[in-house]
Amino acid sequence: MRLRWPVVAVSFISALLMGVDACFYPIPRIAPIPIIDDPDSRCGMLMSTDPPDLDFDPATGLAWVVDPAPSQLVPFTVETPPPVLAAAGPLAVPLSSTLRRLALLGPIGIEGVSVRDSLALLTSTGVELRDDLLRLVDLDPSSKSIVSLQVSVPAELLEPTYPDLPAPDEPAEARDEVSTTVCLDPDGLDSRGDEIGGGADCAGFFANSTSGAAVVGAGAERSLFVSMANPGGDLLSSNPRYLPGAVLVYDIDLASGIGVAPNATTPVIYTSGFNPTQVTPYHAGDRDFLLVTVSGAIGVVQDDLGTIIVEGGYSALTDAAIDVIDAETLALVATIPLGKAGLVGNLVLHPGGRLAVVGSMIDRWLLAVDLAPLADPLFPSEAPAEGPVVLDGSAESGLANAVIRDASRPYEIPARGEGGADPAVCPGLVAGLAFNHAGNLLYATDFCDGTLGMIGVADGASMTAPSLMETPRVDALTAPGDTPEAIDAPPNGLGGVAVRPGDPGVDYSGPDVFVIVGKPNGLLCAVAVESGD
Amino acid sequence: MRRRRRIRRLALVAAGVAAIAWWGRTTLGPDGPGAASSDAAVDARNGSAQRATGGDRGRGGARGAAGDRTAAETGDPLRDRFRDVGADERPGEQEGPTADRDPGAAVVPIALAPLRGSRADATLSLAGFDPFGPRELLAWRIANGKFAIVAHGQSDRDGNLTFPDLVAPRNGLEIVVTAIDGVPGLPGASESRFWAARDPVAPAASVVESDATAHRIRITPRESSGVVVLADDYGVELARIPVRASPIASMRDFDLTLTSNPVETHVYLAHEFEDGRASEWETVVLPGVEAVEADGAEADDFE
Repeated sequence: MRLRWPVVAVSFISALLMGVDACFYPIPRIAPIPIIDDPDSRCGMLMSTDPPDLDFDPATGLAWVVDPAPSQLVPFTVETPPPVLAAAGPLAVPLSSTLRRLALLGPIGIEGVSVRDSLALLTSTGVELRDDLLRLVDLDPSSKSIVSLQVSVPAELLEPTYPDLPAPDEPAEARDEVSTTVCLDPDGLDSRGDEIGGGADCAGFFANSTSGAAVVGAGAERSLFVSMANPGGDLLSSNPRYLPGAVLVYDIDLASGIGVAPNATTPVIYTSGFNPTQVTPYHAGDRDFLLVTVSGAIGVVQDDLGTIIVEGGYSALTDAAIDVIDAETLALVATIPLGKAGLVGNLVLHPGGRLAVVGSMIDRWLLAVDLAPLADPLFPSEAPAEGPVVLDGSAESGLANAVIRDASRPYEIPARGEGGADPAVCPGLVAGLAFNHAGNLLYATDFCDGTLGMIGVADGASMTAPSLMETPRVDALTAPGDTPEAIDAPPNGLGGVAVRPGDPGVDYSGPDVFVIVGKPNGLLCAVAVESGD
Repeated sequence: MRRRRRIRRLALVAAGVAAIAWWGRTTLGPDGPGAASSDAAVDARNGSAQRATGGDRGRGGARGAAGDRTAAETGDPLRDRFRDVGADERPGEQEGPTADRDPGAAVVPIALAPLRGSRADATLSLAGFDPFGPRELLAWRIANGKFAIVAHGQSDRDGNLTFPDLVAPRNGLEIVVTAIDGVPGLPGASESRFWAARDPVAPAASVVESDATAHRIRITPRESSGVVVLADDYGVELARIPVRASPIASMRDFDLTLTSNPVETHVYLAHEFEDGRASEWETVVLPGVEAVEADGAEADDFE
């Protein structure tokens, strides 16, 4: 099959009126962005197609791409297009597991303690099911390495069991990774409503599919949270099995040799729904929280053999939500329901700190929440007896409605139209999200249409009324393919998007937005949206 | 003598026109894949034609002598190659009328060494000799009949090239180096150097569940396209499963249920691309069987 090369179409699509949040605000003046081709002088080459993650290190200004084959992290300098491999070269990661996500910790800032500024958490899914791993990596070019950790299990922690960590009565061991394999035995049912069951090695099931990680807190001793999606079986079917989602809690001591140990009192927090795919630190007032992107069970639309095209896309089987964990009490205190939204684990926080947006993999949807209730004095710090507070505006909680856009009223990114994906084959998948520096634009990549959407954000600076506004959308980057004739030949989609740290045109010149083009060659492309050329 | 010179001049002009026409057809033709865009390439081509003057030629002449001297000192094969160039091809030594008409002036091209790289981390480096150094250079990637800049670099007074290392893409690479105002295919550009496409990486797999009737195997493709091939202990192909392309790596994993066969001790997995490239075989040991060959019985039986 011939795959058409990625191209970029620039067209203004007329605004759609979305209703309740509508009000005028200055739309940033954005020059048309030319088509991106392959090859293209704005794009650096990547080894893998569809690399799973891209992030900037603000301390060094380098863009890091997660490259699963070969297993490594690849740094790029981005001052002038095209992005080029940084002199430090890739950081190789042992191929014992498949790399998934990179989460930079940002400046640690512990008084009196010297901690490197370019630390990041790297999650990976095991080659063997009991081989899920979490690593701490140092991305500073001068000291680039996998950081050795002192791993232990508290003596008093007998349940749950960690088969690949030192026994509770053993001293800490120096390791390059932390096993996130743990035997979980929760009450409840799987996503199909069936009993969870168990096996010889574990009364319940082994947590698997490490999907996200975050460090929360201040000072040297902090909490390390790791989300486990826990798919149970029949993956890529129309009705896969998901086991109860979980967030593993570890104590991490950043001062003394970076010790890591499961939290002795609350080693596991179960999420309100299935398939947690991301954890995000959040700070409100003087309190630290953890936001958990609960994607819900997601199935695959099966091909209708009676048609020529190969139907595809995903379907949401159970409800999605944003769970809120109090990082001090380690309690799941609230949940923001989003309905059957089929979330991608790509929640982004507005620079103002109140608006959070996450994409969907079942359609060209954005879901949004207002985090203002978390700063309300009434917001609980302990888990209510009746379960987490549901922040849907219902009277019982006494807290404001946190839902801005849910599955019943998503923000819909307009389809590309001509040149876009066949909706029956690939109906939309918001692969990447990123706010611009000023907070008045949200960039969203659509895998199916191969477009970079730019959505205006109202009152981004004041955050008095966080909302996604209707804007003329610019289809910036596209990478469409021919109408697919096989499931392995979808449109050449876009992957992640990241915005270079700093104020474009002030802190730096050159491109400000960076996107991953997945196929036919993996590319990291530099686009000057606000910074001009 | 005068007529011979005129014929020679015409022949060179014709060759130049033919070269430009060839590049135009391959990169900018209305039916070619480059018709849609590649503004940078178009600009570069136009700019090159306008900018190429005798200025470079003058610098080149000075550097030509230095290049010879360095080559003699070092014995570098690339420099030796330049040293072996006939006198009438050396920069600054062309006959006047020809040099005046030749927009590139640098008939002696940049000598780009075969690409050297590391298969382990998929990076490669550029090296070679620029007879006109020091000056700014460009590395271009050529694909689909088009070309685009992949890196900025420079040459030093000794003609050594300095470029950042490049990432070697899975599908291979063709690279040309030119002066800052040059483009591939015009005089002065290096010849193409190639980096071969690599084979895919075998998928990871493990047996999730197993009983007397069936094994359930979870497969984690490490590539985002192509097919995963499953074969049995005897080399019989059991299944070909297209990899579902997704920007979310975990959504490419899938489960496969395999009916138990008491004779079967292993199954084997490989990843194949549409162009025929294939990974080595990954062995999956089925439960209940001694894993005596688990680490060593991968590919040989099936090649």
